[in-house]
Amino acid sequence: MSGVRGKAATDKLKVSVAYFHGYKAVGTLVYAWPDALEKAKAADRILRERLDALDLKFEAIHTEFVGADATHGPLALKDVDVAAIPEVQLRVGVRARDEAPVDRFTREIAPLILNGPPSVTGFAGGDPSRRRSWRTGRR
Amino acid sequence: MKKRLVDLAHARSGDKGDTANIGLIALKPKDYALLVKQVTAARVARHFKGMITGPVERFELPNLYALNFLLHGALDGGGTISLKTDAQGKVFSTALLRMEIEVKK
Repeated sequence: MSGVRGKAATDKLKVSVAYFHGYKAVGTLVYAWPDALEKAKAADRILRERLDALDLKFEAIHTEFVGADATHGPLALKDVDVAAIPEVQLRVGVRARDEAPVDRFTREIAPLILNGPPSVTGFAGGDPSRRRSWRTGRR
Repeated sequence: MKKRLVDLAHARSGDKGDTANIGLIALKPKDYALLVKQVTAARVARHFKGMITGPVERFELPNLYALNFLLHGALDGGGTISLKTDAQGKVFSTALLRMEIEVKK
């Protein structure tokens, strides 16, 4: 390597600061072949209707289908035989300033096991846990 | 003929605030000009349509045969607060490598 130039260190330090922002929780369930993605999507619809019916207010609700679109979004499913995907993890996250709606959300995953689409697993870990959420940078 | 970027370049990505950045590096120096010409900021913005909420900026690093892209509004509010699996934007890199560009046979 050649031609690299730099400057002497300054007398200042870089500071990384985070501040308390609220609460979050992430719930997951795993759906198996066949039609794993369709089942996971149906479960997400049911869950969101429940959250609406309970009149819970969230700053954000975020759904991902791990095994299908969690890393590459809509780009991932081009040229894929969607019905043949071996398994999909439904992963739903919520964030709110208050604890109460997040706590209620954590109890809405388990009912999907009995009342939602079949060939569902991955729930032995119990209900999701509420966690504190931290924010950095500009408000 | 068309070729995917995965056959022409490698890529790494990460986060700063709500912005993801992707470094795209030509595997062979001779292919850098193709990247500069075809992998424009506008093309990258179209590629990630629906996945980012802000604009795309591009910086050229010809001494490294590399391009650096900033994808604004890519991380659901930023790495610490995001509910995404990819809260730090680590895999926007290979998502970009799905793009196809035109090459001579």
